[in-house]
Amino acid sequence: MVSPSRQGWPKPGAGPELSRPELSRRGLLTGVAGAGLLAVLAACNAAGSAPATTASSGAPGRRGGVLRAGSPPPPTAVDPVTMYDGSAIAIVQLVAEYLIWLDRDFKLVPKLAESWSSDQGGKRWTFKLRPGVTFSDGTLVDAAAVKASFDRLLDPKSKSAALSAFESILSAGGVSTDGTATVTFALDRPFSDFPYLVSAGNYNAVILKADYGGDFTKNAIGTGPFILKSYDSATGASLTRNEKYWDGGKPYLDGVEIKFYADDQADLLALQSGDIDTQILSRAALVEPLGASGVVTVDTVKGTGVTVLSLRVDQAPFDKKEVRQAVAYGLARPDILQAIGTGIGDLGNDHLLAPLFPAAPAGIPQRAQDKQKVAQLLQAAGVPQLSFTLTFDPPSKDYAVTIQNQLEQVGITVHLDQRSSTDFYGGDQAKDTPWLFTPANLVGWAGRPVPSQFITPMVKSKAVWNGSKYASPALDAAADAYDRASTDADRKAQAETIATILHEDVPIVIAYWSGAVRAYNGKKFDGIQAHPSSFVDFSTVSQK
Amino acid sequence: MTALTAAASARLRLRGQPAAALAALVLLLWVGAALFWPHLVPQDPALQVPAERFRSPSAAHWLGTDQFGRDVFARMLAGSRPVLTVAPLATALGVAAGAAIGLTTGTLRGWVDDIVMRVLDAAVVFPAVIAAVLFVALLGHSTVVLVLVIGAAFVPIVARSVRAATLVERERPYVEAALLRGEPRASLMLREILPNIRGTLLVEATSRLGDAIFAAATLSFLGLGQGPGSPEWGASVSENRVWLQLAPWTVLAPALAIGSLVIAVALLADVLRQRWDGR
Repeated sequence: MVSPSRQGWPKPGAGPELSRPELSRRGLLTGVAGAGLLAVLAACNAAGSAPATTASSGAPGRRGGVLRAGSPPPPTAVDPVTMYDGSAIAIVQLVAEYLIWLDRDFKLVPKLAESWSSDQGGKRWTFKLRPGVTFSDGTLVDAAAVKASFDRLLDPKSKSAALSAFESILSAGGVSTDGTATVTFALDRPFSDFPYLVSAGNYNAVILKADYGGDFTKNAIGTGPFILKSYDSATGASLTRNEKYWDGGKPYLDGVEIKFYADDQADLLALQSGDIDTQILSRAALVEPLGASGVVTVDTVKGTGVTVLSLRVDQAPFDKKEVRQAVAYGLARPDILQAIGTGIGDLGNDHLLAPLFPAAPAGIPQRAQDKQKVAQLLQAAGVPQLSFTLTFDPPSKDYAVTIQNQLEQVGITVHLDQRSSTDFYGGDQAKDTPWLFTPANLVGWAGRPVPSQFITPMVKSKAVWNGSKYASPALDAAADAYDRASTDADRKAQAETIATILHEDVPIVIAYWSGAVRAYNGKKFDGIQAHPSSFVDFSTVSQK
Repeated sequence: MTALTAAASARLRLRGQPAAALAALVLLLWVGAALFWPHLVPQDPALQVPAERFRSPSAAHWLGTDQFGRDVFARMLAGSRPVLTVAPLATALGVAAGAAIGLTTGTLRGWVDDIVMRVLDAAVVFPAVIAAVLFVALLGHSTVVLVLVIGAAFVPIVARSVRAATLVERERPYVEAALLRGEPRASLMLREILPNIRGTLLVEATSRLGDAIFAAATLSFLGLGQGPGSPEWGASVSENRVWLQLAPWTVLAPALAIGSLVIAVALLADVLRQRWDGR
């Protein structure tokens, strides 16, 4: 099941949970100073440790004012455990917090966890909690609450949307406490990027009270900068400043009003007319022209969200590598990035190491549309006239039409098979669900903080969401080695191996990596930023 | 095409009615576009040129371009074919089936009439759009399905009109004479009554044609028409409405196309109705 494209977070549960937000580890390479650097080092060095740091920085903003934000109504209940859509995530992120926040550059920023370290080669991780933080009802945040929060997410009965993120990495019973301020995670296997899984990158991983009963909108208790005063699934939500917020002086705003608009156009008109001050989920193609005209301010950011064209390598015609390569050479990627990605993002090169990932290889030649090469490859494969059916759901419709048009220009015929999202992600995941069993399909994957969260479920042999049915022992070995890697050099070497294999074998075609935008009234407010996953941190927003 | 035949036969009467003459001209233009658009369009309506996205109307692109850089004028012309394929066929189906039922029940009367008409009354009450969505979802998207769904929606409406006309004709002396001659019921319906209700049929056909055009556009707008990338007018309005502020021509062109065709057919239907009422 997939949420509307506007929201971009596929549903968990019976269908695939493809909805990890877009996060990067650019901080690893950029070498940022201070707390951010320490946090990143801690996150990426399996044997390392990070000392206590503070989360906030920057000059204080002007106090007062209410920020009015527009957003689509959440399609399901606003429950931190099961939520998957952008609106629900935003509301929860205003009220509750993570052990670690993930900022727009995918830097790890300590929040409720003050520091963390690993041992046993990255198989055990220990987090020290920030002292003195209380929930909005005055209860102290302790290790028991953190353990309860993760036990809840790891319990299959909870229908947690985070279960897939922890798949094969952390199992139920793997969380323990040591006193009131230390939490330990015993992993199923070494995973050097584990801090990302307890950060906002795993957006369900907010810390709630141990006795949380699933009634978030009626009894929203968190440690976040705002308190949920009222919620109506049809009209919106009202939040006021949390006077007990632990990060001194924040938030600057008196409150936040969220108004629901079921229609993109209505949301945009509200922003233009001044009925709202910002959008939670801006649509790049709609707001970009307004930003250029100065009507509103538009902030943009690159990301790791991607729509993957999967080709089944175990069936004709895509059982021949040359045919898959021909499809890849049939696409004019810059045009796709411009038309579908509104020019915000990066070109894809048919592997899963997005340019934003620090380990992304730079030496693989960028694939481009080449009609002659397509003809040669198809000839070599003995398939001079290639024709295939491309299956997809409505959020990928424009992309599918563009693929059809571009491949037609190189002599490949594509028949479009649009299904409802319910149908596309429905059925039995073991034998007939269209998104995993059709010969060629388009699946939208929300951004992820680390490449393993793409590689492990998507292309490893017999992986749970391996729609191409691709199997490569060499890739499996490199992927395992990547997860175990303890140095950047080792990680980069394994990443290059993975990327080279995927680029050559083409079980999946990746034409572009999408970015994100956020539109706001720049004449009234400071501090509003786009986030690769449309996450919100309004604690530093202030009136001008 | 029933409406075209009617329009042609009424051309002399249109001379004194400029609005109707204009309507006939508009209809003919759209029919011409539907038949010959591949020879009329400036470029392939499916061709994407990202560098030409959202170009406003100009000499190069008379009606501008859309989000993929496709020529809106070309797509508008190409979009006439699906609607002028589905609408006349659906109208023909609905009128033929409705006429058969109305003629039969109106002639036979009795329990057959009671049962059939109550069933049709119930069918009329059921919201047509919901029924259409249901059937298209079950049967899939195709021209045949659209024709069947829209045509089926017209059957009860046409049947009731034809039955009412048949009941009037049934009381005429020529029918009594035919009954006295012992003429078989089938012959009575087809040779005696049917020719005398052709005015009702003609008016029904033209009225339903306008409805069918609108219905086809509506279903297309709802995503129940042909596949993605189709230049169908309804789908074009639906896909481009989010760009209404940025590129209003992408919505106005297909919307005006739908409006002009529906109004043209409605005006012609009025002319035909007036003609038959005046007899």
